[in-house]
Amino acid sequence: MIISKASQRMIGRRLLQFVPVVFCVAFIAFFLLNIAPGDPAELLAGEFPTEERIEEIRQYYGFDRPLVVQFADWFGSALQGDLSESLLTREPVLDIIISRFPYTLFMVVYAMVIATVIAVPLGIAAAAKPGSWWDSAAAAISSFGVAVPYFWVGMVLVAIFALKYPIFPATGAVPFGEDPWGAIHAATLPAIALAMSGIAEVTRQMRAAMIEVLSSQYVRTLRAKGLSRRKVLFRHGLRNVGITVITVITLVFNRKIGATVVLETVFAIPGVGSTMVHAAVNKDYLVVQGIILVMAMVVITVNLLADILYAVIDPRVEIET
Amino acid sequence: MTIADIPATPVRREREPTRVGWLIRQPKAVLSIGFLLFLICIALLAPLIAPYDPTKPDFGALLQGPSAAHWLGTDDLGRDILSRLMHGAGPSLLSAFASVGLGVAIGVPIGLLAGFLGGWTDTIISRILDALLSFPTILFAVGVAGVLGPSMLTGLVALGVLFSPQFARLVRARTLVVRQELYVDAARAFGASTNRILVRHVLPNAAQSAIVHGGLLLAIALLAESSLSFLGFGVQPPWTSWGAMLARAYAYMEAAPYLMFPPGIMILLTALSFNGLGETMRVLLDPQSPKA
Repeated sequence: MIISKASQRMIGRRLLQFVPVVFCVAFIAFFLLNIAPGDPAELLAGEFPTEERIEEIRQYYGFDRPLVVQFADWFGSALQGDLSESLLTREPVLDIIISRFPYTLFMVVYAMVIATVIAVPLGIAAAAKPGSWWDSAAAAISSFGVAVPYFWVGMVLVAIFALKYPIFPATGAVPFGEDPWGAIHAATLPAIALAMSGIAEVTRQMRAAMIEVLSSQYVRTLRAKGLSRRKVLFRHGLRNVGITVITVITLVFNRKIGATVVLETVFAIPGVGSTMVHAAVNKDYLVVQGIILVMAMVVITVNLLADILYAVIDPRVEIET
Repeated sequence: MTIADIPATPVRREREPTRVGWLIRQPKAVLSIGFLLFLICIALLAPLIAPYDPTKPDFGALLQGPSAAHWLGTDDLGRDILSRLMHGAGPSLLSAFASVGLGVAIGVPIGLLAGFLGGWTDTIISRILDALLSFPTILFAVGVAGVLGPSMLTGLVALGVLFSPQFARLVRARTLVVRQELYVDAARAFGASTNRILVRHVLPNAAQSAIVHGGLLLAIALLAESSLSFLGFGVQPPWTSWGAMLARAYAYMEAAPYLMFPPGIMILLTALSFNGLGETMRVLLDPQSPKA
């Protein structure tokens, strides 16, 4: 596989940007959460604390230092894999995230598989005959998918397929490593709900990309040569939509990571999202800060991988900086 | 023969279709805008037209199904669902508009500066925008709203901050194009200050794309606000929003599954209308997009 000089430079520039962006992420997360009024030490000390107890807590966590010093300390440790510990349970924040992330990731990946399996054929069918019945159906599904509150879809699914007809469990999750089928079974309803906007987005983009390819010069030449519509569609059309698929999938991935917060609460899944809700309710802001940093880094990494993949697939790609 | 003798050839003027004329022939646009206007009326008139007090419990009528007295039933405290739905319209719509508005208010000036000044300013601003864009929206909003104290205001500020980089990027890109235009050079040659050029020449040009994008973002904002209120980080009691109503419905899903439909369907219809409106605005305002 050959990667052009321009692409190599682009990938290099992208990698260099990674560092300042992560720094900005940490900086924003830290300062937004620390402008909160109120002293975390007083909050932690519980009801009717003594002045000494508050002081003790303040010193333990280093709340008595200037914010900039606290930030430098937190970010410095974070780079070495130490995200401090939960104010509630004293459990290391990174351990909490690592133990919860697999549930979230599994749900997101499952949802993306559902979205791809439904939306790619739908988008192709719509593009093959614009204006047809299929095309209208695809358009309707797209409009519905972006507008429907996905957590409400989750609730409706639970009401039907868990409470009325107990086919799937209403809540809970099974670790994939222990019982793959059990995990898939338990994650089906939340994954369908999570897939809604993905189905809409992938269908729309797929249709647009296919129409563009099918109306291009070389496809016209192939048709003129006597190749059937079907052959053109499957042999040449599909090959050219790889880029679109990657773009949409990364975009959808980023959004889904955020959306899991609500669905994990609806389905009582012990993932990163529900941990975030719990931490936010209890103002356990070291956990909140840690989750925001780690999740943003996951998103940045996925985007970076997508950019590199683009460059490998299509040497023409010039990524805007 | 003088010029005056030449018979005037009648100039055939194609009547250009007016925007209004085009608009009323689009069923989707008419339906969307009509529904939104209807909702705004409901939201404004809710105190007058709602059949019951939305916050007053009625312990004689807990979790009732739809009936003549309560068209959409009652919730776990006996409160009338229809009244709550009407009173919830205001906060739901307001949050969507306010968070997108805040995104525009923060994002547009930043995008203008980055695009127009270039150099280091641009590099630093761009990295901050990249950082903001990589926060998963609702996850971030939940964290910020939770730690800063859950309220409608913190929720929509968090959303507005997260929406702002989308506008900033868009405006920055437009500004980079506009900056090269001859008329901007001309303005500078005439001695116009940077501020003046930005406000009088670059902003109007870049604002259009921001408005179009804002229209398309409204539905996403509505869904995000509903999610926040559903989790308890948005609109707080005694106010209500559709997201908060869904949270109550979730708690009583087994006993009263019908509770989830009124707010869910309202969110869906409103989001569909927002998208219809955004699409219409895009076609009307964006000269490059095809008028389908």
